[in-house]
Amino acid sequence: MIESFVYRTLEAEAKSIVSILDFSESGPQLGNYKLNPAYETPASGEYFVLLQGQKQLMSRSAWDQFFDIPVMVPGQQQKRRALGVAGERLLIWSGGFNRAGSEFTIAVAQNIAPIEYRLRVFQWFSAIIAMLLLAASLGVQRWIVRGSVEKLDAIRQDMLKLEHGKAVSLSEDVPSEIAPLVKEFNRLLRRFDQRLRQSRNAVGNLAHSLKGPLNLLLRSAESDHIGREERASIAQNTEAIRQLIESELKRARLAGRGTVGQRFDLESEIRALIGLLDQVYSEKAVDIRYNIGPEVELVHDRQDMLELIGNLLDNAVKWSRSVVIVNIRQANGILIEVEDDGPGCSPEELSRLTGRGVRLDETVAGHGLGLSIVTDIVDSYDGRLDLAASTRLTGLKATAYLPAKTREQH
Amino acid sequence: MRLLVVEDDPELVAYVRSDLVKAGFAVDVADNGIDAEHLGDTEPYDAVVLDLGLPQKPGMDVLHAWRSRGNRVPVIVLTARDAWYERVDGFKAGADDYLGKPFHIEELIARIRALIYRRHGRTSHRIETPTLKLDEDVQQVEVNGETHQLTGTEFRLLRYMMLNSGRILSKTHLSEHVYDQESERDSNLIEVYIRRLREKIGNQMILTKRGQGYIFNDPNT
Repeated sequence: MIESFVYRTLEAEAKSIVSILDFSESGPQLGNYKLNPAYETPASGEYFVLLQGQKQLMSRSAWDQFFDIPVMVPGQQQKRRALGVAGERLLIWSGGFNRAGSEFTIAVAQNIAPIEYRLRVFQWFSAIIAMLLLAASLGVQRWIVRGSVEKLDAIRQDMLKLEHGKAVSLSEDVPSEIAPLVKEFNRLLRRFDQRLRQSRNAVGNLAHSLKGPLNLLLRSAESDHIGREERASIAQNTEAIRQLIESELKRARLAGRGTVGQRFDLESEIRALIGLLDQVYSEKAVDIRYNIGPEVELVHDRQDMLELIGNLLDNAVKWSRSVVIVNIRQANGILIEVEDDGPGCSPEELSRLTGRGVRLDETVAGHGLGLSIVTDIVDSYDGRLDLAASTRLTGLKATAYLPAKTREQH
Repeated sequence: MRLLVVEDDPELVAYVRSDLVKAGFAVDVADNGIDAEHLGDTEPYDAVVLDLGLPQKPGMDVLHAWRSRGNRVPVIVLTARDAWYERVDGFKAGADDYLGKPFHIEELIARIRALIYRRHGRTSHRIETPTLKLDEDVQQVEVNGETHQLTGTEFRLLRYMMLNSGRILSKTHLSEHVYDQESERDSNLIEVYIRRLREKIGNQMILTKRGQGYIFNDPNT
C-alpha cells in the first residue's frame, strides 16, 4: 500500500520535472525553476536521473550514486526496487517521454527506509496499545466474574457453617440466578426441622398419655384384693408393655444422620450428665472422669448424642465399683469410649452382645435396653458400637464410632 | 415433712397422695404449672414432686422460675418422656432427682426420703440418736430398746425435729411442715403433740424455749 502510494508520488514528481524542462538544441535542460531542496542535498534519499541518448542529467543529490536506468520508449513505464549505495531502500519509477521532438527517459527514486521505519514504530506502538487494551479488558472481565463468583463462595461458606452446626440456614443474599435454589433449600431445611420437632412432640405426648394409665395398672397390680399369681402376671405384662413403649418411642425420637445439628457445647453437656449421674447414684460415689480430645466437633443432633452418651455412661456407672472413664476424641469421625471397673462380661456374653441382629434387650439383664437404643443411634449415623474388655480397668469398654459428616460429600 | 405433688392426672395424683400420706408426709397437690409455681414460692415445702407435662406452664419453666428466684426447695422431676436430654435439661434447670414414668410408689418414697436426708446433710438411711431410733416404714420409735407406736402427726413431728435437731423450731414453723394446706393449722395443737411425744420418748429430749419454740436434743449425744 505504502509502495503504490510512493510510486504514484514519484510518477507525479517525474511529470512535474518534465513540465519544467527547457528543450534547446543540446537537449533538455532544467529551467530556472526552484527544485525540491532535497534534490540539491547529496544522498538526501530523493533523486532523479534524465537520459537522452548519451546525455545524462541528474539531480545534485544523485551525483555520487549510480542508477542503472534502462532506456524507455515514450509512454513506457517501469517500477522497481533497488538498493542504494549507502544501503538505502529505493523505490524507482522510470518512464519514457517525447517532448518537442526529443525522446528521453526520466527516473525518480526515493529512499523508503525512513517511512518504513516510522511505519514499524507505528505498528509497534499500536500493538502495544492493543495489548494494553486487551489486558485491561481481561482485568475488567475477571473483576466482573469474580464479583459474581464471590457470591457463590459465600454459599459455599454457608454450607460449611451448616455442616459444622454454626448456622441453621443459608444466607439468601445471593445472585438472582440461584436465589430460587437457595430459597428452596432453606425451605426444605426448615420443613425437615419442623417435621422432626413435630414427630418428637407427638412421641412425647404419646408417651405421656400411655404412661399415666400404665402407672395406674401397675398400681392396681399391687392391690391386695387379687391373688399373688395374677399380681405377678399383671406386673410382668405391664413391665413388658413399658419396655416396648420405651424402646419404640426412643427409636421414633431419633433424628439420625443427615439432620442439621445445632452445634452444642459438648463439655458442658458432659459435665451436666456426670453431675446428673452423681445425683442418681449418690449412694455409690463413683468417680467419673472425662477427657475430651482437642478438635472434637460434635455436630450431630444434641438429643441423639445425649441419649447415646447418657446410656453408655449410665450402664457403666450402674456396673462400676468406683471408677468410670469417658474418652471422646476425633478419629476421622468421633470416637466415644466409656470404660468401667465393674465385673465386665464374659467372652460368651460379649459375643452375644455384639452378635449381629441380636436384640440386646433379651440378652444380658441390665445391659439391655440402654445398649439397644445405643445400637439404634449408632446405626442411624452409619457408625459402629464395639464392646470389649477394658484394658485399663476391670470392666467393660464400650466404643461408639460415628463417622465424620463430610465423608458423605466425597 | 411436707411435700408438694404437681401432677395433672387426677387418678395418679389420688393414689400417689394417699400412699405418700401413709408414708408419713403432709401432701399438697397442684394440677397446673401456675398454681404449682405460686405454692412452691409461698409454702415451706421439704420437697416437691414435679411432673414436666403440665397444663398452663410446663414443669421445666416452673422449676426455672423457682431457681431464678433463689428457691432451693428439693425437686424430684417426674416425666413420661424419659429421654436423656430432658434429664440433662432438668439437671441444668436445678432438678435434684429424676424419675421416669411409670414408677413404683416405693421407689418414689425412697427417692423423696433420700433427697430430704441429703438436704439435711445425712448420708445414712436411718434417723437415729444414741437414745432414739426412728423406723420410718412402720412409724415406730425405739427408746432405749423399748418400742412405741406413733400416730401420723406424732411421727411427722418427731421426724422433722430429729432431722433438725439442735435448731429452735417455732410452733408455726412446725405446723407448716407437719400439716398440709387443707388441715386446720392450730399451733396450739403442736403443744398437745409435743406433750404426747414427751410421754413416749422422755421429757429431756425436747426442750421448750419460752416464747421461741422447741429444740430437739439428745442429751447423750
